[in-house]
Amino acid sequence: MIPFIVYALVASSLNNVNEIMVYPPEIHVAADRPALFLIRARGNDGRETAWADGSLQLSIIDQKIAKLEGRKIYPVSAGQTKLVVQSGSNRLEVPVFVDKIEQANGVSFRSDVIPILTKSGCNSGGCHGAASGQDGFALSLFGYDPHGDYMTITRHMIARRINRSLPAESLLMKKALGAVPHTGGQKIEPGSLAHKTLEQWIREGARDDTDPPAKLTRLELYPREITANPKGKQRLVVIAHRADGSKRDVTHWAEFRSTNEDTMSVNADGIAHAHSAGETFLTTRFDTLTNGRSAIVRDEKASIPWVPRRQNNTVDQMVDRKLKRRGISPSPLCDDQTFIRRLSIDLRGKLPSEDEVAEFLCMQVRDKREKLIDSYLSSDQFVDLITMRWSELLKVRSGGKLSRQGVHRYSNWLRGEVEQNTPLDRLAHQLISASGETANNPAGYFFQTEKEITKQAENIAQIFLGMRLQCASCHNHPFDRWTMDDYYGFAAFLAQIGKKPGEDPREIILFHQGTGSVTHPVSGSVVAPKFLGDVQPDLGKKDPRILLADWIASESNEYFAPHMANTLWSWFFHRGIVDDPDDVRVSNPPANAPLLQYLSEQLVKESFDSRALIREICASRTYQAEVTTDQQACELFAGQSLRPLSAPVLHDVIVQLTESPTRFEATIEGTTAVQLTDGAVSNNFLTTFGRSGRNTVCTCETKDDPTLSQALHLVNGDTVHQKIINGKLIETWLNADIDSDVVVQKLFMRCLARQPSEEEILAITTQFSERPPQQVLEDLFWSLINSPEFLFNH
Amino acid sequence: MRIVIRLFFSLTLSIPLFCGGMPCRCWAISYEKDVLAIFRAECLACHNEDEKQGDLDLSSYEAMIAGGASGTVIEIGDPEESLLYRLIAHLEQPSMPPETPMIARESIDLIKQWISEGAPKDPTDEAEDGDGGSTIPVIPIPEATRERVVHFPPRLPRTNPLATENNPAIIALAASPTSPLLAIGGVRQVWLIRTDLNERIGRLGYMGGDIRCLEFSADGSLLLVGGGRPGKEGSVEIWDIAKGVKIWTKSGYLDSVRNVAISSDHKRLAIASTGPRVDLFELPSGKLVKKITDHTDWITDLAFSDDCVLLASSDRAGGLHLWDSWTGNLYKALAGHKKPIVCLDWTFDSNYVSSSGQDGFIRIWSAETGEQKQKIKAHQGGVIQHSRLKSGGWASAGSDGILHVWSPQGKSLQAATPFHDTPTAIAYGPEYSQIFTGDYLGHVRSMDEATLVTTELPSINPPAIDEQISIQRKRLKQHTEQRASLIASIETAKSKLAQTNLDIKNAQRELQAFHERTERLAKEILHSKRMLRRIQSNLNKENAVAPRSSLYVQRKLQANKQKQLIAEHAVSGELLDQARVKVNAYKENLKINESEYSEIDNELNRASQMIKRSRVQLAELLEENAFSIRYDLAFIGPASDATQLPRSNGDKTTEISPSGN
Repeated sequence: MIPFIVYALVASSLNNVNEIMVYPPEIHVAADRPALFLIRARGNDGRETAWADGSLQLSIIDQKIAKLEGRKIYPVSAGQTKLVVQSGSNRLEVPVFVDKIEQANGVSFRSDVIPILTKSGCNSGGCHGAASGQDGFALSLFGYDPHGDYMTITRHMIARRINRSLPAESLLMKKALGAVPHTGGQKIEPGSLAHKTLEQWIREGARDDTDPPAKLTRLELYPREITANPKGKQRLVVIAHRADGSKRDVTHWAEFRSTNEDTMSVNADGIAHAHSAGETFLTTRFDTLTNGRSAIVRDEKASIPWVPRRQNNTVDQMVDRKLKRRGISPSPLCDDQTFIRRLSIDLRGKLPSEDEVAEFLCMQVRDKREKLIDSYLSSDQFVDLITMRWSELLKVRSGGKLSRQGVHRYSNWLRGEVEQNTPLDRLAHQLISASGETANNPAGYFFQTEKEITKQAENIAQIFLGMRLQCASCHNHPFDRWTMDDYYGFAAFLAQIGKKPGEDPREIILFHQGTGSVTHPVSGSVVAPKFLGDVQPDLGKKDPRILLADWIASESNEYFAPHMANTLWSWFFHRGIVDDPDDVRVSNPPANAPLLQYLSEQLVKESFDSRALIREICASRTYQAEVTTDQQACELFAGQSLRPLSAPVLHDVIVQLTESPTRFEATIEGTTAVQLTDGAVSNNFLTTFGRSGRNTVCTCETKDDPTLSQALHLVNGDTVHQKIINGKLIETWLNADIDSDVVVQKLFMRCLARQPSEEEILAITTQFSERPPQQVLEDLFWSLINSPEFLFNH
Repeated sequence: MRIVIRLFFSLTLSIPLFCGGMPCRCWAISYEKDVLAIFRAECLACHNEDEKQGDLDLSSYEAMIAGGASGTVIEIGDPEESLLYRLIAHLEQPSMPPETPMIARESIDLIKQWISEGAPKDPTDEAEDGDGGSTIPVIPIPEATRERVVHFPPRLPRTNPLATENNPAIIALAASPTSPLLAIGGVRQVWLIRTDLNERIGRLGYMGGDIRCLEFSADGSLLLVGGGRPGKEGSVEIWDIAKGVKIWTKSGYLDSVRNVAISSDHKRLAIASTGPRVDLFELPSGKLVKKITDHTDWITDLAFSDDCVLLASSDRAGGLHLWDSWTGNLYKALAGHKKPIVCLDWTFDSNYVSSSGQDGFIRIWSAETGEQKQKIKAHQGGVIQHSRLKSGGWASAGSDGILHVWSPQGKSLQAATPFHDTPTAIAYGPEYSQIFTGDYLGHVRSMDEATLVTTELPSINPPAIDEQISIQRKRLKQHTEQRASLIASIETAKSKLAQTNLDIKNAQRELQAFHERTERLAKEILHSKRMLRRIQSNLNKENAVAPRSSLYVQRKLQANKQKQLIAEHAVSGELLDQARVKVNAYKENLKINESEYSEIDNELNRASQMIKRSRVQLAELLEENAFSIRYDLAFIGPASDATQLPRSNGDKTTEISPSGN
């Protein structure tokens, strides 16, 4: 009897450790396989760290129930005992439960074999999970159809893939092991646990589960806090919780991913290896569930001292808390010239005029920046700009489903709502529950933009909850918790929507049909409406769409307020706290979760008043900080990032500068690009610079990556050059006897909201001595518009 | 002896025989003999005649020397400069085979040595004459017979050296067209079953891997076995049923052989491996007539018409082609199936070919016009196999788990569900009108065509003979013990019986005594009565001899005596009755004891008989075991010798004949 296994760990100088922690808090051991556990330490500061405080003594109280081998607990017989972890006076007892042997049914197809295939990549989209399979062998993507997969493996090409008599001869295994030529190469290591388990399954008769395993309810990833030094290692443990109350160690079958492999990577066994300082998000996936945890790698020795900056409001506190943890100092406030240009572009979609800049610089009031924000928020241009933002998401576009008349009404209604500053929850509610004739209730056009109810359900989820559910229409979402059941349960809310043509054939009338359902494509059964990750409501005779609107546009909806707050935030930083803003999923965590939570609480507190939240965001130092080009600093909002002007704004700004308007098709004169109501109306410039065509609800449709054609368009295209010529601005000024030097200053103020530097003046003066002033000035104007300083908001 | 067999089977399970001899090699390495085997296992899946990746074909010596898109791959005499060696030894990228660990070091070393030794083609090289003019060995295929002759094999081993935990799925099933004989593909062996006796009569070993297909020739004289190791190799064997001898082997396919067919005149053989190609061979020369490459997906079935004119072939994409069976030239392409075709069968008159598929239909086509003549909606979810019937109708099994018998007009005549799990195969024995079915779990059943009365056939995964012997030994011991205990109990029964007999005798004696006494008393009463009467008559005479008073006294005395006698008689009568009851009870007892005795005696007889039978069975098993071991040893004897000999050139055939019978 050797009751103790002693671990001598390297003693460190960290003496503030005062508590042993063990994950999971209860260890459940199946009757036929071992379970893993982790030992961690909690310090005085409440932080969790690796155990590094000397030797540990581990023992199991009742050796007849379970035994310890390394850091694994093996079952002996059914019952309950305790794991004792002791170090000096520190002692912790962890309950250990061992299942009855009758509960072990051997290898399970659904909870062992399919996860092995998934983890080995067999059923991924690039391999046998493709719609048509691969080389004649087709599995369901990530195993969403276990019964179908079972039939394919065992009953399709019978006795080719599975040899029940001679398990080792089964092609399924030989291919995966690379023992016979396989296009995908070797996927499973010979002799590995996965190999042995597959072979065991075939030896046991290659059976499907008699009772399918209970539905997974939760996936727990331990440890709860991961911080490591470069070159450090950390074992991860994954526990699956099922609806029948069972908890299983599934670390071996779970997949691991890291969003930033250079910072920390996780191998197939679930051991995380830290590489270089930074932050990453580790996700694990098992069956239909995904869970994740952020991990920080910090080099204690190499960190630079953290420099604090002024905090304008709570937003800054939230940002700084995260920055401090990561050891990144925030950028200082930008100067007034930069601020007015930045704010004007962001809130009005135009540049401040020379006079506005001059006036703002002269102001001596303490809160002049707040005042400026307020004045811009109440401007018409702000309404235009925000209307455009929403129009991009709500697919305000003619053609196909929506007539020009409809677009006009839809857009006008939207502008009206923005102008009145309608609370966001009400706006969402109006759109989702819209009924009646569209001419009278233009919110109903929302349902005219998409005919298919599943697509419309996807749109609603993406616009209002920031979720991309599309994947789950054909298979369980690979990187999120959503299953096909969730998808069709959500779409079922729209199943009873009735549409009939209005008096004017271009319009439709929306009504509650009272009948209609959605069928699950795999099971073929009717799916009842069910809120995402929530309950199945009692419908009664009610219009399910109204229930859906009530559920979404609500303070208690855990996705709506954060997504709205994040959407607003992304307009001012060019990236969301969750980025992309409409890609909320477990495996895409917020860069700063407390910040997002604060903003969302703020939005709820302000009764979904978007302007109030925008005011708070713009007033923060975080918004007003100097530009930083450091990628990590940008991601954590330590400073502002360089943001390219969006296509309509850039267009309007050029028009504003050159005083040479563009005439758009089917619009009244003087309509700016921002004000364009119809996504289908565009011109070469806007298309080149990636204006959203409003064909989809995706924020990704607005493209802002600089392209070569954009550069060529600016340099050689006729927009800039022609507008400078047509605007005749230089000519007018020179004719008005304004001095060339003054014109130079005017041009700098107009374009960049600053005075030219001495260096710049020198260069221009040299030019004046060689060429006629008009030519030089026009060239200067052209150069300024083509300069990065102009093309970016900074 | 047993160990030898085990070793033999375990060897053949995983490693081809020629590898076994590699370490003690005493001949020069050659392409044909050594290197091709390695190529076949590791390279040919991508570098073969049909699918030349990188424009490289390693399946023949000439093609290999010609090289691929990167030029020559072998620099004779210089392995370090040979691309092939460099890539497989991971000295250069892209390493081969791609995305897998390096192949066995021994194989790499062998190839290296082979290249440095000049990369010879044949082991003896110029010693034998090359391809030109060599006499092609003739395959000893018996002439096809026209009259219907019953073919049964000679004695074959019936032991199961490869008893497995799970039964194999029945994927290969063939019924002899002339005899009550069924061939079933088992684990590495074909089982033959006499369907009239419902008995396993023997096995034919198949060392090539899993058996995929079985086919009897039209006269029932030949059995074709096709199969292989998936993704690795495939082969076909032809057995002469009457001799119980394997007469031809065609190996070298890169994946399992899935289909094989022989024409009824034994002049043409068609083989399809896992792929879209059909190879048509001439028999008995074994020469390739044509490689048919018109199919676009895996071949799913092959069938010669009974008049030998046409060959039908179907594929997984729904393609169905008819070929001139003599030349292999296309005769007609029949379009109709949208999903994979699974099975083909000709009508007995060779005028129509039937095809069934995963679309659930059986379609009947005119071979003359190529028109679809009939369409039977047979099974929801797809047909698994169908077969022609003597009546001109069809039998079919489908994914729905149902077996249907169809009239020639396509009407369902009968249906049954003889399957425990997914149906996997059906076959039809015309001579005895039996339909045979097989399923995923390894059950084989026979059914009468008219009544569908079902009989379960013996398992093709019987327990190992050792196990059977030990079971039989145990049984014998049990019977012997039983007999011993029966003998003990019969002794007690015997003594009990004797005791009862004795009891009866005593009781009867007693009865006799009582009887006699009662008789005597009755007589005395009679005498006394007579005396009394005499006294009375004397009294009645007026003038008696004796004085009256003495007569009165005499009368009184006599009356008293009589009274006493009557009383005694009554008591004695009662005792007599009691004794009689006792005797009867003992007699009852005797009956019981006698039946008990005879029962035990019967049991004893039965036990003795069981012992006798067990002894016979055990002897049979031991004899069977000895026979099987002898057979198997004889079987591998010449086979392992054959691998030592240089192979014949040209085609890769080996002739193996067991001398065990």
